[in-house]
Amino acid sequence: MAVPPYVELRARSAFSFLEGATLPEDLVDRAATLGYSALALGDRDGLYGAPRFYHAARAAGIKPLVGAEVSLEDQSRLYLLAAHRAGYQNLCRLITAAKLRPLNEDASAPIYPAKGEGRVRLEDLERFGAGLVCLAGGARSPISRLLLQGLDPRPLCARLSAAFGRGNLYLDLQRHLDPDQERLNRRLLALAQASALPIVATNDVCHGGRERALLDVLSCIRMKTTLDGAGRALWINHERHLKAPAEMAALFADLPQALSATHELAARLEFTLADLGYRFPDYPLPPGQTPDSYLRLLTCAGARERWGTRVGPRVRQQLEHELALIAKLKLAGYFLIVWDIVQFCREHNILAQGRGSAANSAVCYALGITAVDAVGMELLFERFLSEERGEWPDIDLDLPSGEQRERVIQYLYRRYGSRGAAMTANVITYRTRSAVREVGKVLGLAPEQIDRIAKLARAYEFRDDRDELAALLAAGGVDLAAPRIGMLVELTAALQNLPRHLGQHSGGMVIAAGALDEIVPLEPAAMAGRVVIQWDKEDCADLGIIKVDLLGLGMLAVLEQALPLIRRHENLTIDLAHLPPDDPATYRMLRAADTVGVFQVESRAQMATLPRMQPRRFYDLVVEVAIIRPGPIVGKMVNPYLQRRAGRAPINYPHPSLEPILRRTLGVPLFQEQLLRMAMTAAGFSGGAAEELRRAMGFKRSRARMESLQARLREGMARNGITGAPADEIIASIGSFALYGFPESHAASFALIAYASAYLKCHHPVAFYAALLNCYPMGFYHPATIVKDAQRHGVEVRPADVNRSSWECTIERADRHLALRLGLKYIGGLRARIGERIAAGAPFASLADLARRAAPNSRELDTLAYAGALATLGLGRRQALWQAAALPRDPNSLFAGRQPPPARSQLPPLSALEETRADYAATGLTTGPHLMTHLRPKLAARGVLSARDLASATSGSLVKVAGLVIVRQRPGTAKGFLFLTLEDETGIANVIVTPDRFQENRPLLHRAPILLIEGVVQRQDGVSALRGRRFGELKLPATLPAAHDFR
Amino acid sequence: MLSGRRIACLLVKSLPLAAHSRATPELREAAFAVSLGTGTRAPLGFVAPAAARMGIVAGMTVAQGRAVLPDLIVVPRAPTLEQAAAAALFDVATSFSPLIEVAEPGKIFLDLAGLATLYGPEQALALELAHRARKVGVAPTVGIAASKSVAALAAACGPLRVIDPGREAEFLDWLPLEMVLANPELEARLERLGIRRLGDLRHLDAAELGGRMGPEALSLLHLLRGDRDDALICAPAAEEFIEGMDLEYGLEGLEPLGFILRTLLERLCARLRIRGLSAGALRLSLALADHRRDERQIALAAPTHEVRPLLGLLLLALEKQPPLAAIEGAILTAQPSHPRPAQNDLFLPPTPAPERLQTTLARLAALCGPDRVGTLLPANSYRPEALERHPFAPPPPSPQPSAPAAEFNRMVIRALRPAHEVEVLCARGLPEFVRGEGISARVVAMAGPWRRQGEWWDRPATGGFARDYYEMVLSDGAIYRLYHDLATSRWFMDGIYD
Repeated sequence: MAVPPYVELRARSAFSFLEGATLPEDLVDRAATLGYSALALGDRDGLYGAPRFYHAARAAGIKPLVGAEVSLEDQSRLYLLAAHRAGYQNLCRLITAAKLRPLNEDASAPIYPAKGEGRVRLEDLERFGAGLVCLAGGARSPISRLLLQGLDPRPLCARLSAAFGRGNLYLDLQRHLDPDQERLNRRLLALAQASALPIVATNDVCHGGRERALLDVLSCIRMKTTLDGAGRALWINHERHLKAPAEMAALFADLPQALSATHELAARLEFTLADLGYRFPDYPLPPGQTPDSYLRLLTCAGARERWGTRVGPRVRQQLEHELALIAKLKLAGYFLIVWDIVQFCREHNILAQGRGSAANSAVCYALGITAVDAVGMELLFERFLSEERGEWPDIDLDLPSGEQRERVIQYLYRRYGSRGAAMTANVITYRTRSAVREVGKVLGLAPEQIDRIAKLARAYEFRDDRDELAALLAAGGVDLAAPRIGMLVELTAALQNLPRHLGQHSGGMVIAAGALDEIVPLEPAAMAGRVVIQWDKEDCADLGIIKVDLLGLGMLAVLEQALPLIRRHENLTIDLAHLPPDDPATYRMLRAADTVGVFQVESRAQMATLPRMQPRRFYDLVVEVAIIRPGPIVGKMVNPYLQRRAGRAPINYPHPSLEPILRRTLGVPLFQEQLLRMAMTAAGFSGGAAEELRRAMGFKRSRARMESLQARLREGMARNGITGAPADEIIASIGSFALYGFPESHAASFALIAYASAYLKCHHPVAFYAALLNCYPMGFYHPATIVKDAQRHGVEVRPADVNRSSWECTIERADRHLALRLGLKYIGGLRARIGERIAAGAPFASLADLARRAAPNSRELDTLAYAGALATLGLGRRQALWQAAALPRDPNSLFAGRQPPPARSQLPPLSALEETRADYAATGLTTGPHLMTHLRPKLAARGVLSARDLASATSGSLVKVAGLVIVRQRPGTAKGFLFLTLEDETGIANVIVTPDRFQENRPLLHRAPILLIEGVVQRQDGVSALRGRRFGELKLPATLPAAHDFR
Repeated sequence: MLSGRRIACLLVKSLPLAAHSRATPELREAAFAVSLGTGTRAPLGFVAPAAARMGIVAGMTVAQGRAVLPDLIVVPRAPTLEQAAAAALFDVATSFSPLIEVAEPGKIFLDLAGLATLYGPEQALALELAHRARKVGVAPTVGIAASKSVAALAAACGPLRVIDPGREAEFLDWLPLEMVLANPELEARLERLGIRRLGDLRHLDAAELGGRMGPEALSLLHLLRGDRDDALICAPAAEEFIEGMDLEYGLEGLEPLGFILRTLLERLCARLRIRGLSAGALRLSLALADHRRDERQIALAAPTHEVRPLLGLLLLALEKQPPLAAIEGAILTAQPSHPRPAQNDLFLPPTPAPERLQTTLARLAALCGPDRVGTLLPANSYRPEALERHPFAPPPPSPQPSAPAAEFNRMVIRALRPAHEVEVLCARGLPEFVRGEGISARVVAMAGPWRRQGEWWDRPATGGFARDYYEMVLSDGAIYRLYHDLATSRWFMDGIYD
């Protein structure tokens, strides 16, 4: 007998967050196996999984029906399916309305429904019900609830019928072999007959078929209980999975009309995400212009500005090529919109610079979107835009972090409307440790045991091989034979990569012509004034939704602050786009690794590489930025490159065909583009396949895809005769880039900022350091280190003073030079408004005057006194503290503002060391002598070298150094080695500690703020470091700045 | 001016550490710390000297501590142990002087008036205090001086420190502020002014100091100048009643222990009785010959100060779970409580006396095993026969008559426990005939299957239980509930509908 066709119309995926256990792709796989022709996915209060479901279903030849299960205010639920595009738009708007409606509508601080929840009202359904089909069966529907309570549901049925339109309200019957459910079904059937409502069979699918245990675990996580304690709160059986049509036919043998209705309804639901209707906003054009003509106009004008008279044939040819492709792909409007954002930034003096693949475009350079001359650097335009890929280009803009970036985001909201622009989501998935913790709790393991296993599982992150997790736990002494531990391993592996909740992407914004909430539901973000869409950036890219990444970059904020300071105090206008190229002094500084505060090249590893790299031109800096990344380090590409660069190793290529690709980097692949070209050349990958490879490299969820692509690579190379070691070398190069390699254009964009920051540090240090200190927290070093670095560069740094300082650090003119005045923001605990009041009210005649007009509280006044910020009031620190303590604390006191009489008490004088300690305690840094200066006489007597002396010490000699620990690092790529950076009054000393020595001295190396280290000097390419052998702590009672510890 | 009084201070500097060391002697030399919470983020509140030598400092989290010292032993705070240690210190003090002030747990002042005739010089007295304290498992430092404040500081400098009359200033001048002040903020303010030792305050004007730094700072100056002589505030009554006994030899049997427990209980109950109190709960702590402690809590259904039921409960608890080694000491702690009102409701039948009920239950538990006494109630499970054992409690004295059901049409099932295995003959997958012990009938009508699955986590081998339930009307006229075990393909009759 032929099985009646059945379509599952009610299914939820893991994107129903803890109510579904299967990823959309896996549901589709299962449906395909069972022979489904169509399948609907309706996650709870959202369309979170819809794009992934759509793509998987399309690939499997299954019609992907779109729906959602919406929660009503009384916590009942209705399941809605989109019949056509208008219905889909209504569904998006319905969910958005429920998500963005505060629970406390009258309150000034809105409280929104919890993540993953919505509160739909019946009025919403009446407003947005058109084009939607409602399934109102199941125990959670409001109709069923009334039936179970013995109340009359017919008025509600009538209201819902009116809301969704005649024939669009179905009562779905589910059969999970549950007697209570069967009783409900009888009542629903009676109601259907009485109210002339159609019935339809569904199975309320919560998982594909194999994840029943996982579903119970997720339910327990949701209910915050254990499996032992959940009892009847779990589903009564495991029947809520995708069943074969024959199985459903057997269950509904007595109701064939309910089965056939599934097929009829699925045929009626014509909407899929292919018909999304997304349109990028139109850019308002001047009269007589088309987007293409206007883009050409702006590009030509920009090109003249960028290249001046150098607009040669190569540039013209490239621009023409790009403009033609842009016109062909109808992307001119997109470029104009991005240009518009950049224009806004320019008009409001906000530094903005495109990063990523956009830097491969000459048009972007001409429009001022990027700052890298793509023609001059011979960058691969196709990496940015290709006809073959058929997707929107990706333009990421770096903006100064903080308020300026927020201004740009708010500009987009204003320009495109609160429903026209939104941030993209970031789907937070379960990682090993979080999965272990959650599953462990659900299995009822003891907290200590969970903690131990979670720690052991740390090294397991990102891997699919559950045997490896088991081995790790076994090695850690966990008894895998214990049944619940075995379950923990299984369930942890199953839970991994399942969505946990939705976050907000750091800077991705999508914009749409008209209402974005008709394309995708919007939700409130945790940050006030922001909304976020329900899809992540990959989903947006897959569906052709334009995204602009607005990313905050601290160094841009520094540059933005430094330029006006230079203009004001040095009477010099600097255009970052026209900095002197290849400035010798700047490169000299870079070669000497004098890079504290310089963007991207200030880390310990970068500093160790710079003298070996010997950068002399811009491209060297591009390489320098890209080479100290996990990709090249793990891929063991750093040393080969440096050896070849120094002429100590021959330049060779994995295969002769790769020479044109790798020539610029001496035969060593360093950039993503090179790997794409290698794949295309060596393995015959198409541009699209190479792009797929790039995306697999760039996103963590694609590890499995990476592996299948590797197999294809190997096959392709074999076809081209590349086998054995060369093939392995190429595969290894590509594999290592899965751990974050840089694209060349991105490295070039960053190198520009690195060069600009180095240039400013070299030629305008006062402004550079002032801006750097004002933008903290950012970068690698504590302000205490930055101040000392400034002083070593001849910058006079003056302490904070109530009569001289502003809130931020400023520049003062001294006799013949400029000095940096520390801002009041560095006075610990001083509130910004008090600091600004002090800055505005200065000068102050006395302590009482300060207290009266600025009204700091007693703690703030004490700190100002202790920091020495009252020096210009004629008071030493202790006198100021003593007299400040005598001031009436109540500003309303009759004696407020009265100067206390001269003190009779004798206070001990402040020693030089105490003064330094006071500086650290009050401001976290000192503008006076370095702490180590006070110890130097004794250290010198013991033969301890300074950092400067270490640099010239003989290689192999046994010496001692001492200093304040400013960096402790033990990177995962360093095989247990510890890297310490010590600072003294002469500079920075680098120390390497072998794993054995580290274990022997672990407590000391972990915590001692000042270390005395004996070891052997190692020198390589002019870089000196000490290989530590013996370690001791120098005790000095002081509140010292925290080191950059293990970050 | 200081009077001629002499005050001793017994001080346990870090009571939480001392309490754990006392309860677990092997911790005494170990690198351990006491955390202020659970989990790895809990801060370490107290650090034993051995751990401190390895770089552990208070304030680190447990995770940080273990990062520095992987073998660090971390124990949580144990208020009970701390109370016991403080009570032991109190006992030591009371064994010397009736004039005692408990300043805080672990810090006790004694008035030494007249004790010289009993113990000789003050140094010898201090030694004896420390000696007795060690006998009860605590190791306080001892300070003796003319006032409480100075004695406390002398004890803080310990281990045994006697400040001779007239030499207080010499002692105080040297003291760092951190020893004198419990107020870190004031200490930091003074430290900023360069005042690090108590003697540094001598250079300050008293009025200026008081006006600027407050009364606490001023009191330091008074202390320094000998202007402060706090009166002894006699100790409040103990919140717990503790009686203990150290044995010179290990007791192997329960019978001799019974005599000792009776003695302890008689003393305990006598103390309770004269205060008009009863024991609300008992705690028995046995020191075992293998240096472990056997701790057990004996719940009382109702407060009592009668020796017999209390002794009965103690012995039953010991019989149920005998100590694992010979007993070398016992500490009995009674939580005082007010006696139970003797009169029950006049109009209700009498219920068993709670203390007797408790004794009976304890006796049953000793006979049958503790996990086999209680009330069985249906468990929160889809498995109908699943039961949970709950502690037995007598039904409420005045049951409210339930309201008559308006429309009572539900069937009642008589559950068969264990379910009877039956043979079911099926045709085309549907049951047709049921045969079993005392039954042989044709299926007339049937509802089902109703599938129940679960508890896969308890039975990983079989994937938990999985059953299809049926309600069947059989040809014998009765209605039965049967289930088909999907894992074994066996059929069971689970109940009969009445």
